Amino acid sequence: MNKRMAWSALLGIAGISCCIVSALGGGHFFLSAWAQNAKKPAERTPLVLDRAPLREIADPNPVFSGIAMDSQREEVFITNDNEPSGVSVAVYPAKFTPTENVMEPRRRIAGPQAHLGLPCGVAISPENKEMYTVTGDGQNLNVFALDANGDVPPSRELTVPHASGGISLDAKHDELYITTEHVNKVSVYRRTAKGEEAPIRYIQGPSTGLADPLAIYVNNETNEIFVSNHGNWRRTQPGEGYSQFGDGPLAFVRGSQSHPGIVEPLAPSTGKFLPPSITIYPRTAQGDVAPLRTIQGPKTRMNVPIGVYRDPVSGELAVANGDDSVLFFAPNANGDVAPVRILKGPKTNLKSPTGLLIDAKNKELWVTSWENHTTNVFPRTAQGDVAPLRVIRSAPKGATFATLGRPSGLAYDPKRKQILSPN
Amino acid sequence: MSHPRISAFASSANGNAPAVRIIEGQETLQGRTDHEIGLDEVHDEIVAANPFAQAILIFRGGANGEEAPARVIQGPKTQLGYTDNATVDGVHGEIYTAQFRTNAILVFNREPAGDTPPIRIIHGPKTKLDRPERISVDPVNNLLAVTTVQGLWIFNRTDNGDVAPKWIIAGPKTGVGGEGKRLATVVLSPLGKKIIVTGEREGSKVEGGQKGSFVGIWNYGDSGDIPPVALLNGNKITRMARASSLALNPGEKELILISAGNILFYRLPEVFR
Repeated sequence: MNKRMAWSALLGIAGISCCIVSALGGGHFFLSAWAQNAKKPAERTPLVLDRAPLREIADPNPVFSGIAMDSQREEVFITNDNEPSGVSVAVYPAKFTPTENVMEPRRRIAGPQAHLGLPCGVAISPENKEMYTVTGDGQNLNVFALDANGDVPPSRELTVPHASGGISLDAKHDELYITTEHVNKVSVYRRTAKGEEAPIRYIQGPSTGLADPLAIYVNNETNEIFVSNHGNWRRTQPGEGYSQFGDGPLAFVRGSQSHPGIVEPLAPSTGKFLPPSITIYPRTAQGDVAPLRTIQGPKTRMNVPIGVYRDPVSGELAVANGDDSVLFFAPNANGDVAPVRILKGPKTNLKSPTGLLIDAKNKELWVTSWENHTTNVFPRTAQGDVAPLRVIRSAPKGATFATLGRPSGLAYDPKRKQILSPN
Repeated sequence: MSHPRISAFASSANGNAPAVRIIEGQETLQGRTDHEIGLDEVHDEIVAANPFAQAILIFRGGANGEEAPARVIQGPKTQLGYTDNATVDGVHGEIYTAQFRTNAILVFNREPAGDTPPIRIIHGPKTKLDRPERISVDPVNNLLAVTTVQGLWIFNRTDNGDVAPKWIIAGPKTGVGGEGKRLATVVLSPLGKKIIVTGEREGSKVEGGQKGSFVGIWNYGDSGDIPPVALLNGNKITRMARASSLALNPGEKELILISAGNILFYRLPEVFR
């Protein structure tokens, strides 16, 4: 090999190497640059590895979660906490011709100005022409005009404890009730509260039986509060609150992302698992009060219950149950009692139901079915394995979904070649 | 508002692909908040956290449906507080968790579970731990990394008591640490000896306003106010926003990332060198 051929061969090898490195590294000379960087850590300039993802698991379809009805205008408001679809509150007509197609909402509140967080609970005041939402991943209660549409800011915001998911309005007494799973708390605010206004009363403490509370329903006829609990319990102090962000008063109480707060001492743990329950309190309960009644135990068949609603006609308590069912309990149910009826089965189209309401005027039961992107309307007294009268879909019938609810952890399982994510 | 669960997807999944299995239901004892899980490849187990019941749940690696944990770490002796994270070192049979509100790192034997005290606790003024949040262990090089509000703290894996960190990565040049920024996750990669974090350069002061997502990569031994070796920035190319967790697939040279409700897969062979 002469000198010219040797240079040609070397250049060829270098060219191939560059191509390989470029292909592997997305167009950068990573190997040499990385090595150079390693020599001078304090002065290094970071290599920029920006590149498009190879692939992406995402569900672009809205889900249906919390639900409320404006009976006067015959509209339903449904929250969507699926980030890849753009979180929103969608407004649909209460009456519509049954269809198997995807149904577009009449209006949709969505966008950065709306500051929805991951909206969970929703409540309506037709009299005041207002809609209220709370976020399961933020710390705000947002108020919108009933006819709000698009990327609009809330007409007012109220700071509430972090991750408050359930909300109910007592129109008679003009009060808003919310639940907070992080601190096992029910907080009651003036309907018109805003900013950093404190609750006018709360239910919290070891006697309350609150254990990871999710949904709430306030009945101002029987003066009762109904709360669904997943059963995850730790001892809380009455008045305890928590903010994860911001500069509000709660952000200083205990460590938040923005302030050190009070560092808690290492101490004996108090956590334990309780069976899931519905706890019922007097409407005006305050502080560390025991429930009037607790529906709890194996006969209840509760399994990660979320939505709870009292039937204004029969007084029965309807519960959206995590085993793809709706349970109905007798009006004065207490203790380990069986449901008086159950809506469950493949015809019901229920898959991870989360929210529900009973429309007494039209004698209908509405159930949001989070996992299959449907809201299902049944006769009010439906039981057993019955098909819904009509269905709102946000995705084509029969489609499959990734349906991730706020994924927040990851692990790779090399044995099964799987990605694990709690969500 | 989903029911609490762990979804498992094929590592080759793409688009709106359904999970191949889901661990969910009352018997699983999960809460709706679990920000970090661990996988014990040696014993084929999944380690998850439940902050609301102050518990660490250990499932079979192949758990599916409404399957109860094989073991639960919970009880007064555990000193577990708000426990939203857990990771596992299968080689040494140990489970780790960072405790945000008590400025502590608790280490447990993987068994027996139940009401068992930690075998080690990193805690005290010398540790300078300030709101530790996520944790990663390298059993090969015996390192333990933990994110804090002030930056990234790296200890020896077997450290115990009131000990100073081995390395600290924090300061203006690092882009991490300090009120208002946020380190969301850390992963130690024995292959390539890299420290990989996700975070937000700004915005944690106000929820919903987070921005400046990035993945930062440092070498083992890096300490002080030094820039990362490499960066993956949140922008239109990477489509990364609100990066909250990551995992590595060494076989495919992939970095897997949670970004605003999506799971993104990047091929990053340089991380594994």
